[in-house]
Amino acid sequence: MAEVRLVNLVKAFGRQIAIKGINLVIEDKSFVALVGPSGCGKSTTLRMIAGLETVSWGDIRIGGEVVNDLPSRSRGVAMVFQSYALYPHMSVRANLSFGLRISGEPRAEIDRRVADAVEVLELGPYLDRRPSQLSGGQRQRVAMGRAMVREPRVFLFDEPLSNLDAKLRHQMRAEIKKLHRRIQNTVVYVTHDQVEAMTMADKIVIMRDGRIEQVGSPAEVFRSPANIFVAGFIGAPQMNFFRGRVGPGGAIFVDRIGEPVLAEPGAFVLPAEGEEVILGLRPEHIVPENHGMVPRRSVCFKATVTMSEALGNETLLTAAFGGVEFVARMADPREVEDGETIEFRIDSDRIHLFDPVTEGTLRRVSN
Amino acid sequence: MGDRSMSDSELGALDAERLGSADVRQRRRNALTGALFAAPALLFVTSFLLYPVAMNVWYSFTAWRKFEGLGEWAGLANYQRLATNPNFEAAAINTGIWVIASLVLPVALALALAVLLNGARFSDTAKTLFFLPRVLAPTAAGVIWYYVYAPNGVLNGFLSLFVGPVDRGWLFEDSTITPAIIVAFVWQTVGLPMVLLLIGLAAIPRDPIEAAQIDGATPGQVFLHVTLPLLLPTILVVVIISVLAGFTAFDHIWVMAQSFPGKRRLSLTVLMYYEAFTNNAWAFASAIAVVLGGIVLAVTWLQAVLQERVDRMLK
Repeated sequence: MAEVRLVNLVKAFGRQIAIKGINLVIEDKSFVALVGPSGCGKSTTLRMIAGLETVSWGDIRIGGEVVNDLPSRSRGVAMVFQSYALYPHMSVRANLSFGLRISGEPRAEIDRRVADAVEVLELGPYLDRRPSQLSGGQRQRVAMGRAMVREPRVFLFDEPLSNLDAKLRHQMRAEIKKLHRRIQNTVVYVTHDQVEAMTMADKIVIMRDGRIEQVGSPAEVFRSPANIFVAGFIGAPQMNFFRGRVGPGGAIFVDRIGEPVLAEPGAFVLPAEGEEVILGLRPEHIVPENHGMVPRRSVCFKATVTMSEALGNETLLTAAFGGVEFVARMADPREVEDGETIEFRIDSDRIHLFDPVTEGTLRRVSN
Repeated sequence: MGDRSMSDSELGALDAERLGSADVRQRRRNALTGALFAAPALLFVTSFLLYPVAMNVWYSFTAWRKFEGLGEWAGLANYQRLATNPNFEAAAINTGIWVIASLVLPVALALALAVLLNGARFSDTAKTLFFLPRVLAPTAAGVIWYYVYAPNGVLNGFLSLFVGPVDRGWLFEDSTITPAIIVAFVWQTVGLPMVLLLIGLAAIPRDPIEAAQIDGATPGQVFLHVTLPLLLPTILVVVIISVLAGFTAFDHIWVMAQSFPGKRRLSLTVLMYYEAFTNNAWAFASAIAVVLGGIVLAVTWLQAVLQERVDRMLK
């Protein structure tokens, strides 16, 4: 049992407080991704779990035991670094077995575990090479192997794929996921790439400025972002935001869009009539006329395309109306000229509404 | 032509010589530029190093003594004299002691200091203190230590506090003079290797060390298995600097052994100086220089071989 529990965790560097009292339960055998922009404290949190940073306040518990004062080696964790952190003077084989050798494991046991890792990660042909003779992807696999052979209770990944090219990253994502399914231990995975977090994790923890903004499954944080920050961070291209005003009967009026957007009845806790709200719309929910599914309930408006990015299977349209720019996704694309005026439909059932002051969601919490 | 690539047969039909000629021209231009850049340094090294060395080797085969015998061929006579000269044997043995001491003491001490001071509090002050002797002239350091070792000097005074009156002449006894001078030498020279090793330590990436910590290594194991191997290139540089300094140690010995009758037996450099400038045996001194130079060259070559091996290991 290796649940990881962070209790009121604080990290201060001198007077600067990097982690501001976070509480988080990472269930046994789960795959949890810590995401956020750089400087949000995700790596610091991971390094505290690893024992590479001291805890300024609060507790870290692994498997129920407070590990604050335990050195890394006694925590039962293994870590894969962004830079791979392989030992450059050792062969792949020596890199893999280092941890076991220094802890005095019997030879046969070391051989067995190394052989296992080598088989899973297909490292057989490279055992006698040094890290410098390997490609980025191979190094990454060695780093994972080195963590695997220790059979840790908790696997820590610190942006392990950010030094790989796009294709390899995609491949390694699948491998890490498979690995987790196979060995079934707790994984804490730090990344700034929301796609990695969405595709791999059971649970996503979105952090900003040393605090947790939202915790939830990938679907939850995507469908029901807790605030404007999460809404903007999760999803690519990011969510569009418009200023709107509440009208009678839950209608949201946005300047220069003739008709009001009618929010799904009962889904939101709306402020009083005339108050301002922020309307959030994902690019796929602003549908160019005749491209994509016609929403069940929708509002039409016209906007001028300022830029189009053809991706082949779809085109991302940047368009503007009345000085407000937004991005829409054009399915089944056609050629679009810059300056062309196109009619768009807002999918009224997929809107997000936020409080402009607190930036929190106005969505009603369903019980 | 249309937007297409050439076919294999079209490619095969191209003039092979013309295909390569651009590269040849480029290489020639590069070689010329390289030669021009290297010319000043080459000229300098030739006139102030290679030429004097060649002349020195030539002198060692002559009968040159002060104002006579410069053109007189003496063959291997000077080298034969080396073999029979009792001072040469004693000086060579002492130089050997110097080399071994400078291989071990400054390196070990500097490494210990560097590891202790790396990232420690007040390390800047401590670094400055340990480096300070380095800025003294070696002769000045020699004079200071001369008084430390004097029969009524600081060392005897200090020892008297524990074991009763001591009036040992540390710089007047065969058995103590070389170790005593080596201590002074290490005191003065340890600063540079320490600074070099500190730079080397600072250049070691943090990640493999942290990886080793997580891999279960104790601080001692991290140092032994990760830090030390990664520091090896710097250690090698430090070893070479120290060993060469040991081979060529002169000033400290010359100053501190000023009243020691057997001074010329204390190192090959002192013997060489003595034979040349006191005894006027220029050709014989040249032969000593050739032998010393040969050994230093061999050591430097060994260093180059080791360096390459270490580089290959860490690459």
